[in-house]
Amino acid sequence: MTTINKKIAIVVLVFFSARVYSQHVEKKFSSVKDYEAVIKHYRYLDPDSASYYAMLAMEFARQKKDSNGMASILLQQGMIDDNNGNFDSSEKKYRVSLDIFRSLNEKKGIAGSLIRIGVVELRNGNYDKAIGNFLDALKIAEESADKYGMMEANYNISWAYLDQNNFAAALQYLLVAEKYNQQLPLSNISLNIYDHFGIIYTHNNDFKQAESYLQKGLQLSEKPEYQGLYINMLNNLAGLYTKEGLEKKAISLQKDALNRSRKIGNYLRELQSLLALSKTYMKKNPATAIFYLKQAVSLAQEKKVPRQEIRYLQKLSELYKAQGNYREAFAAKDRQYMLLDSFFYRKVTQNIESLKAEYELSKSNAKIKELNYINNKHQLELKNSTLLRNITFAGLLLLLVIVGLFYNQNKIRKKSNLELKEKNQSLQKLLEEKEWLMKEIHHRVKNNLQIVISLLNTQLKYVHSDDAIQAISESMQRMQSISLLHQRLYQSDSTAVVEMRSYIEELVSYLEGSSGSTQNIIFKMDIDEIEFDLAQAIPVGLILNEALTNAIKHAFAQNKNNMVAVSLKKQNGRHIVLHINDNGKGIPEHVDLGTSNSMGIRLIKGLTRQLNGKLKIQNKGGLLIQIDFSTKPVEKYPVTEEVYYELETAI
Amino acid sequence: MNRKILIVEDEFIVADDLQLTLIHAGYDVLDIATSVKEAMIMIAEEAPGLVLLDIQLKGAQNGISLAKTLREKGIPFIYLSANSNNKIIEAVNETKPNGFLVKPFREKDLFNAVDKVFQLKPEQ
Repeated sequence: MTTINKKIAIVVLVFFSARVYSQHVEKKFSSVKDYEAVIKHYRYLDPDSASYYAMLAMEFARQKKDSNGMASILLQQGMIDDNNGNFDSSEKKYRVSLDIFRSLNEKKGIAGSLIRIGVVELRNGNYDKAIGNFLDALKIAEESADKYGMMEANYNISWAYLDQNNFAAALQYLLVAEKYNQQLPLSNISLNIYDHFGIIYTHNNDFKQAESYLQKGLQLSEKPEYQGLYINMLNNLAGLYTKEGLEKKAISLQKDALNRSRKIGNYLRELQSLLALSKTYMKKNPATAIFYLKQAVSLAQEKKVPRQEIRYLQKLSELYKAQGNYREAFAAKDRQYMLLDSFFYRKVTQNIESLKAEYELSKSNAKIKELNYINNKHQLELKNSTLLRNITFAGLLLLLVIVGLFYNQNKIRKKSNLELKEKNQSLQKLLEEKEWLMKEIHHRVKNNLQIVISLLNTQLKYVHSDDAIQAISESMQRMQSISLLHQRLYQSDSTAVVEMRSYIEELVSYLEGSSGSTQNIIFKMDIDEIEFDLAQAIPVGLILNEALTNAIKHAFAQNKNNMVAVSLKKQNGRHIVLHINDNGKGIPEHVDLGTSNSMGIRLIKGLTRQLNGKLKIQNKGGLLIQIDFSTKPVEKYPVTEEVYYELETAI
Repeated sequence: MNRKILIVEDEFIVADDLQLTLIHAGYDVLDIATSVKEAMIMIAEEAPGLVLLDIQLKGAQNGISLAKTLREKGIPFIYLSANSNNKIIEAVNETKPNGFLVKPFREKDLFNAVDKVFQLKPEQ
């Protein structure tokens, strides 16, 4: 079988067994402890499966960031290496796990790691260091009252003494370990204790004790996971039987041990069994002894364990020498020396290799650092991009808020516009209502004046004196001219101002019709388009009423060519000039207007004053009444003169 | 020919003045009604030859609604109104009145309008 095929076979086997095992344990892998149990199960039975699960367990622990679990698995991996004879790599793993446990201050773990390191030291013959480690572990176990730890430490100390052939000391510690063992459930330590008892008692020739321990151990280790120990004990019991002279019994046990170790593929145990067999055969059957020893040598050679091979070659050459087969003895010696040379050479190369490995390690560490750096950089970039993304999001959010605010503002503006519109509308409505109200008021005023006029008209029917009739008629006419003004106001678009032209035309027409005069009077009108407010229109209307009435009644003696000219002209600015001019008799010379008590004159004077105007009465072709005033009633016109009237007798 | 004039005017002073004026001028005034309802009763009792009808009247009905009845009964009528805005004139025209006098009117205008209905020549 080529190595590749073998490797494939192993891998297939591992996967297969892993599968088979996984079918009933998969669901149990919820913690590192579950893995640990499986690894322990396979450690002797199937080291490859154990390695496989240890790898899985390590991955699992790493993912869970379980440092404690990682350290525990490292211990297990170390033990697997240990069983395979890779003491260097196992020691490294133990040391790492020790560091981890120390950083976690995990007492049990520290003690366990110390024990394992001690075992490596022990295997390398560094007994002082080994015992030192075991004692440290013992101290820790004692501090935490860990019985298992104390048992383990004591057993290992015992082992260290045993390896140095200090049986007394070994027995002393082993008894202490056994004391704790009796208080604890069965473990591989228990079996080791029984095994060592067997060895020590065998050495002390206390065969009975030795056999009882070994038999007990064998009984308890008839389990797949304790196969290694079982084989150890088989060989040790065989050694006991050999010492007792029961060689046949010993050989059968040793053959069993050989088969078992071949079955589990544990070459260390196979070597041990082969060596034990050759030792048993050595005295009585050297050829068979050589047969087994040769197998051991080739196995050691195959497994590349030169130290063992050298030892076996040494023994082999001695056996050949005893047989007188010097040629083979020499060949064995030759190979032994060659191995010794190459072994030391290999050691050196190994050192170089390890240096190289360390260099590679440091290089890969540097690589890791670099990767970490890149990773950090990526993380930083990631952070930056996250920041950028966050900023973008924040920006978007801000934009949304701003848009929202704009929208809101727009809504508010629309709303306020709407409110403004509504207010304008209501104002408009109010204005219309005001207009309507004003019209209504003017209407009422006019109606009331109409009632007054009707009353006066009725009164007229009941008086008989001419004076009374005249007085009442004149009063009616005055009321009428005011009433016409109010009518204008409620009929026109504006309730504030009176359009003077149409008013005066109407007034003249009314006076003309109601005078009852039979004279033919032509009224000539020249009225500018002027609007007065009521405060000005009333006095102007009354002045016109008085002047025209007077003209109609008194100006004309004849019945033809009678003419009255009325003009209201706008001069520059606000200056207004009112003319009433007839071509009648004029004022008789004896009449003094200044002292005239005529009601008409009085009214004209007074109303002109009210207008802040200037009155001029002249005889000019007839009578000319001229009033100058300003459109603004508050302004006096003319301001310089306090003359309200004057009479000039023209021509 | 029936020349009795019914005055429909809710303002007594105005109506009374109108009545006196007409009587003084030699016209025959039947009565004064102050509302459409009263006018209807009076018309039912004795039909006038002419109704002088104020448009603005107290009560639910105004002069225009009475005018429709008058038109149906063939009684002539002349409106007397203080108002002369377009809306009213439109409504008034629809009732085809025999005359329309805007207050304040001159006695001369009143007599002319009445004489026109009675097909009398003006005295002058």
